[in-house]
Amino acid sequence: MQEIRFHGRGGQGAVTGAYLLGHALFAENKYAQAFPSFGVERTGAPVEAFVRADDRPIRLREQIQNPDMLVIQDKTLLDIPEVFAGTNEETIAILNSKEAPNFPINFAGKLYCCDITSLAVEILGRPIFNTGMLGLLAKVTGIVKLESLIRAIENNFPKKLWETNIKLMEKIYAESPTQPCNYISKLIKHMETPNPKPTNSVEPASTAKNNTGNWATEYPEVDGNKCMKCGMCANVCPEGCIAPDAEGVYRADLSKCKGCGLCAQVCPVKAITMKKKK
Amino acid sequence: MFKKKFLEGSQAIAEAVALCRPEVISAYPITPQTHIVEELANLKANGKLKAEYMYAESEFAAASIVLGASATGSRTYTATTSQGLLLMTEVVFNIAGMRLPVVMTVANRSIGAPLNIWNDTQDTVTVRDAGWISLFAENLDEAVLMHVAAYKVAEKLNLPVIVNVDGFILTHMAEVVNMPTQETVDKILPKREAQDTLDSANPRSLGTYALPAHYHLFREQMHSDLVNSQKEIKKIFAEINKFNPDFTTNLTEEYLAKDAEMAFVTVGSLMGTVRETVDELRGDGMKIGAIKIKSLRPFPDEEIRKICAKIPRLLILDKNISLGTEGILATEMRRALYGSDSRIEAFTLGLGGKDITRKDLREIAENQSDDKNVNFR
Repeated sequence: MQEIRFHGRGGQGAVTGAYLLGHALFAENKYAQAFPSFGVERTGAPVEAFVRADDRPIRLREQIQNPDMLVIQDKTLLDIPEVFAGTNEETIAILNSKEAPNFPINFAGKLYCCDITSLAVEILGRPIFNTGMLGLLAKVTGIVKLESLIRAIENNFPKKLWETNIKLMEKIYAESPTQPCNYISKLIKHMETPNPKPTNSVEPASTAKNNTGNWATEYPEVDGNKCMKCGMCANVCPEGCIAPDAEGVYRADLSKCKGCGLCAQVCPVKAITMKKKK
Repeated sequence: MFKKKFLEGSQAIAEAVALCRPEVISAYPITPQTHIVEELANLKANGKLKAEYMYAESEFAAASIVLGASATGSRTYTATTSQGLLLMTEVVFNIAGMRLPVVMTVANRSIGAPLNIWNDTQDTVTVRDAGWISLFAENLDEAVLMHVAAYKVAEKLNLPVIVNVDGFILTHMAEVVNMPTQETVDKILPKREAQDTLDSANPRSLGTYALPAHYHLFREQMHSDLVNSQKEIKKIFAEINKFNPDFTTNLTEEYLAKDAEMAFVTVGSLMGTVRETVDELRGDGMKIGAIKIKSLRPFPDEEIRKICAKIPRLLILDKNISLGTEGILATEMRRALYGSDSRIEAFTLGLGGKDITRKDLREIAENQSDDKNVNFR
């Protein structure tokens, strides 16, 4: 049995990617299982999905503890040590990143890096990485044929999405690296869940303590000359992280901003534009 | 007769329900049941499902709508979970009391507070005593055929049926599933022949006032019909078994239990991981087996007594708890096995979606503890 664990953020298509891989494996006469582990159902929140493939029916229902392969759709996820839980020297990880991380990661296996984001934004026009990641996975691991993945797209996506997604997948399959990259490994012990208070009470605005800024692929850029200081952006911000600065211009705290773009949508004078994060 | 497909659980269940040709569907969406009713709405919108589909304003309304529709003789369907099932509770008891053959999927989920959307079976055990037949599916193949069986059982006995599928673990699991064709389902499940129905041309009332003596008799009849339903359920399971031999006939399934000195006992999808763990432990030389219970109501006392007669230790795995005592399955097993020599140990695990791994089950089998009645894992 082969086990693949996907790590992504809500909206990047990790769950759909896992289902697509399941369809492709099924088309190759494998018994496949694909299932998600939803966290909070919000754009940008960390999401996991799981795929198993075997030659006989699969009975196991536990989440994947010791993945043979890891699909990491976003390099900001590397901050979460659990992403690498249960891996070893044999594990193959594919990472959406131009280059290897320049800080130590909790991993000892083979890491393959490829910049899916740029190509996805160029070809799909949106930061959705699943089909690109699957092209990379197929190339690096050979677990599934490119052809089967293309059929899976055609059988499961609306027709208008076929061409761009297949183009992205083929391009990454053709151009992706065949050699693992070098990185700094620093293995750490995983944290235990602390005991909660019996009442489960939380103080007001407790979400503001979460640094959700690393969920973002985009950030709002404000034109201070255009801003008419109406504050509508602050009203709609789901993180409540927009406040007026000394001049009264409304600006987002980028350590909290998830890059959802609601502020840019509601701004009556179009003073806010969403910019891609470097 | 069957076609292998790769489907998400909710889609497979929705397609299976559609194959049963329901006439009235009403539901209110709630995670993790949502995909089931969305898919049914899709089938209706695409003209592949002939049913009336009524989007209700709440679960209480959804249950009331299928109650009324079923009373007029229609084949009806609803689905819910967790807080939604609790909101329905009053109607759930009334559906059973009026002896209406409603079929409902419960995509098992925990109960708040704290708010939690993930899987355990606390929701369905809260309506254990309502008078419904309550079945549990281990995998998608079983879930699909159990819905077909549910309609046949319900309409034969005038008892409503809950089909329990573990939320997320089955509803959001895409796997290879054997889907029966329409022709096959039609062979198993004839059109509902309702008696004593509500009809405006011939007005009658249903569920009316019953004085103490009369009420007592009604309940007694429900009770004995539910006890006796086992025979009919097995007959219908046997009929479906002819189409798919993996769909077993009894209300229990044994796994390597014949010579076992110890056996896990559980319901639903957990059985898959249990089977894998038993294989591993057998490989280590442990004489261990497992028993799957497919029906909480009726509870298959006789079958259990027969299987467990020679198993000295039973490890009961519950994904629910009657707070202050133990899991419901554990209590049911103690009742069914009263006076037997088997030692029963209760474990509550996996509440609110906490993953249950082979490692957890191995620890339960290997580290027997003598001084705890309920072990929280």
